[in-house]
Amino acid sequence: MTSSSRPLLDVVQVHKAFGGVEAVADCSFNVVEGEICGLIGPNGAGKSTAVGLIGGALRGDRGQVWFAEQDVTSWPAHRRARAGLLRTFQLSQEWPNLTVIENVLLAAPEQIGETLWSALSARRRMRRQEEENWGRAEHLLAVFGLTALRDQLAWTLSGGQKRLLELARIAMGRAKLALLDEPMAGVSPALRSSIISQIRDMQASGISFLLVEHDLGVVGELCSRVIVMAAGRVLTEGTLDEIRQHPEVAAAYLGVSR
Amino acid sequence: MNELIQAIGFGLVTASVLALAAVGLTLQFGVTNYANFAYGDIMTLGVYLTWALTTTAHLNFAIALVVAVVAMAGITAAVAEGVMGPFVRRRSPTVVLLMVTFGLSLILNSVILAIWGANSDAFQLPGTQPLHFGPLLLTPIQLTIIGGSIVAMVAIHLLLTRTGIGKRMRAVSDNRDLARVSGISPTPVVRATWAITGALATLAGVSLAVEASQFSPGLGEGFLFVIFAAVILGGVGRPYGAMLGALVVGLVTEVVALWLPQYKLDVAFVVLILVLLLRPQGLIASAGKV
Amino acid sequence: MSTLLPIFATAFMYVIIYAILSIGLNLQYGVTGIVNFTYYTFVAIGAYVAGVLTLGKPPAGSGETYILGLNLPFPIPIVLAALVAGLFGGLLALTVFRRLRSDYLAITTLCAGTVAFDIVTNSTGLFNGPNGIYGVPTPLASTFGVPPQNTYMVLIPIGLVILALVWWVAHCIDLSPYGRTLRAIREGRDAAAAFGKNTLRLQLGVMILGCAIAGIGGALTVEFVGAFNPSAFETVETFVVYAAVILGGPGNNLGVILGAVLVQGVIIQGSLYLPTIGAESLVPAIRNMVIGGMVILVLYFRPRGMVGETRPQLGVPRRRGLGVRSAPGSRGEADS
Ligand SMILES: Nc1ncnc2c1ncn2[C@@H]1O[C@H](COP(=O)(O)OP(=O)(O)OP(=O)(O)O)[C@@H](O)[C@H]1O
Ligand SMILES: [Mg+2]
Repeated sequence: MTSSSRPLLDVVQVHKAFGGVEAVADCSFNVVEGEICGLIGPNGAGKSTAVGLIGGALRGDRGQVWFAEQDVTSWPAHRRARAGLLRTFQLSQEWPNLTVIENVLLAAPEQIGETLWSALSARRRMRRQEEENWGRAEHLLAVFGLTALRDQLAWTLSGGQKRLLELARIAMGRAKLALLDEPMAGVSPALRSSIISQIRDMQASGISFLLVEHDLGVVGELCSRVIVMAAGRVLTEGTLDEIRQHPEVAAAYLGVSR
Repeated sequence: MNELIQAIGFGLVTASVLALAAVGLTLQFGVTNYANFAYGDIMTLGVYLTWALTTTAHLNFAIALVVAVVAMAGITAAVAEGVMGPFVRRRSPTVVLLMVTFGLSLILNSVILAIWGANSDAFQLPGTQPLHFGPLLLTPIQLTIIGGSIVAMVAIHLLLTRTGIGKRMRAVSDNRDLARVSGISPTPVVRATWAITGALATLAGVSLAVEASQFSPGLGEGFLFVIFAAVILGGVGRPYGAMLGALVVGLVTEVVALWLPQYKLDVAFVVLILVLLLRPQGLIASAGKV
Repeated sequence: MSTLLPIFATAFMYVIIYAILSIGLNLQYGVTGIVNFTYYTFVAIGAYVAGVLTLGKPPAGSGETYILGLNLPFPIPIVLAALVAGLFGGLLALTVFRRLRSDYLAITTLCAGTVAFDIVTNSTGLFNGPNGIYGVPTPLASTFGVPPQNTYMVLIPIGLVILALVWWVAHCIDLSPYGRTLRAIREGRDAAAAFGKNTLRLQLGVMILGCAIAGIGGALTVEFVGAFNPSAFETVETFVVYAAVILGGPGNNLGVILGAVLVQGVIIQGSLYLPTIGAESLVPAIRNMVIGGMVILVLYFRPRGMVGETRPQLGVPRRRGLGVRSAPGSRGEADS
């Protein structure tokens, strides 16, 4: 138990190449419990690949991922999710032909009726849990302002509404750590501030975040600490102000968006 | 030993037929990004068209073949445009596209059955007397198949490397989005690909029918799984991989035929399973394309 | 009357069998989005297994050869047929589900079907080769003293009971989080995995379950017809079951039963009594063109089929069921 000093998420020398492209090259960084940690970098820096490696959708070539003091490197995505490591995708990945509330309900952890056997035999317990989950899902829809859309199919939602739905799923899934891949992409400024406050509230309720985001305004508002990636490598990390001072960052990233 | 050499000889013949078929299938698979389950029936239709031209229209076999290849290029492109086009434009999921090609397979097969009936037919061709090459026995027909296939492969190579449409086909096959961004419109490329697919399918079908010395409406369908094995072995969308896959599958089937003649084609399935388990990206590895 | 009754009873029995098959395929294709292009091979496995378990040893001097010949009493052959078909379905699934593309599963199933066909045809020792097995006795017929030409009198009730059972299982799945999770796999496998669903195991389970149901349908077929041979499981047969599912309403169990009534009861059984025109193969060929054409048209103009996917919501405090409709062509980017 010497590892009790490990942060909630610890990425150690993780590497992933696609053919000749080193998308993530021996990256190490971490996210400590309770924080909202930013991950920024120019297009193609390897941010989404890093999220895929942490979430388990991608298998790294080498390196380790530690989550909640466990080495999850060899775990498949679903097992990491069950341990409380949830993610969103850069392109929203709702289940299009399921209703909004079904999308949220699906994220509920440890559902009794999720195997064939229990669906046939444990119907009463299943129903009781489902009613509980239903209540919680309706509550979350209200929180995220989606109540009116409850019974609509998810594909009918607008881009911003889909982002809200993804956050609602993360909350429903009782995440410990949420990896958000550009949650503000395609979101109007009005909705943007609402999503920011949602993320704050979720943080207050005990969820930690790794937030991939291009908009430094958003990053500045939410993140206490920012990691900068470029060309697959971690350039530097620190507060947003510290990072702005960094010469390489200015050249590689901020220079572009000046 | 002599038996083995002979088997390798037959293997080259099978590989030649298979290469024609597999290159046609993999080009389309790569460019359109879905598998075509009607491919076997397109082959068969090409065979029956050729046969009808030789028997009903009394054309010389070679001329009939050329006419059929051209006609099938047009028919295939038209059917793909008319039937697959609307689904693709609507962005139907792959599952639906696969179902549509499956339905097309049934329809084409039924058309063949309705027009030509269920019985076997055969091309009457000269050149069935085997020639000796040391321990190797091959008929002039078989040699023509090998030669024709090599010529076709070279032509495909030139098409893909020297012509604009060929280069665009490769670009779309490698990365559809990137190709679109660089200003390549997929529609003409897709049409050209289907036409080439129809042409190659006809060549492959006729070679298969001639080599097997008879054919029936089930000809292409029964062979389709072997073609798929070669395609996946070579890596989907990779014509050179398909040629290599065809060579491997062709040789393996004929060598296995030494011991298990009635199951020789089924070995292709074993190859397929092994590839899927061990090397799903195909023999020629590629980045991110699975 | 006396001539019409057997005709209708036979058609009815086939509809029951196809309703069972459609429910099984619907679990795979309609609910989970698995493309299994050799579904009918599992029907064949069920038919052969049930056949050789019901039959005794091949009579000496008959020239027949097949394995087992155990003479087992009803309903053991049906149960074992389901188990064996499910087992093979699972084995096939194991080799392909690790791959991302749905094409690969479709291709592999098609190949496996062709190979199974070759093996059954060529190894005569297995199921008597091209001639197949025949003379399979109807279960319970002797118990109830039913004459051989009226076997439907016992098989229709048996079939209805099995159909009710299969329907009940599928219905429970529809009502449960399990069914919802399967649909999520259909709608987006990566997202399902990202929310803790073990997609590999779930798909494997559905493959086993669906193929086991196919096996049951096969067992009923062989006990009804009394015979089964390779010509009975060509690729067309799989397409016919797909047609029932797609025309009826993928994802909806009542819909696919309706589809089975339409495709098997009306089109196929009906076409049997059409006059022969031209060559013998002409009428079936035209019938298949019609089925293929209908499937393609429905996929385009009415992807929900006759009855769209509707499902009652489990957790709703008992107020109502939700009618859920899909838009045309928007079944999601389930594929990567
Ligand atoms: N599946 C893949 N196959 C091949 N190359 C890939 C794949 N995924 C990512 N890459 C490459 O890896 C590099 C990093 O991509 P990634 O998507 O991680 O960047 P990113 O930082 O998320 O960029 P953006 O800000 O544009 O989202 C890019 O060069 C990309 O082309
Ligand atoms: Mg990204």
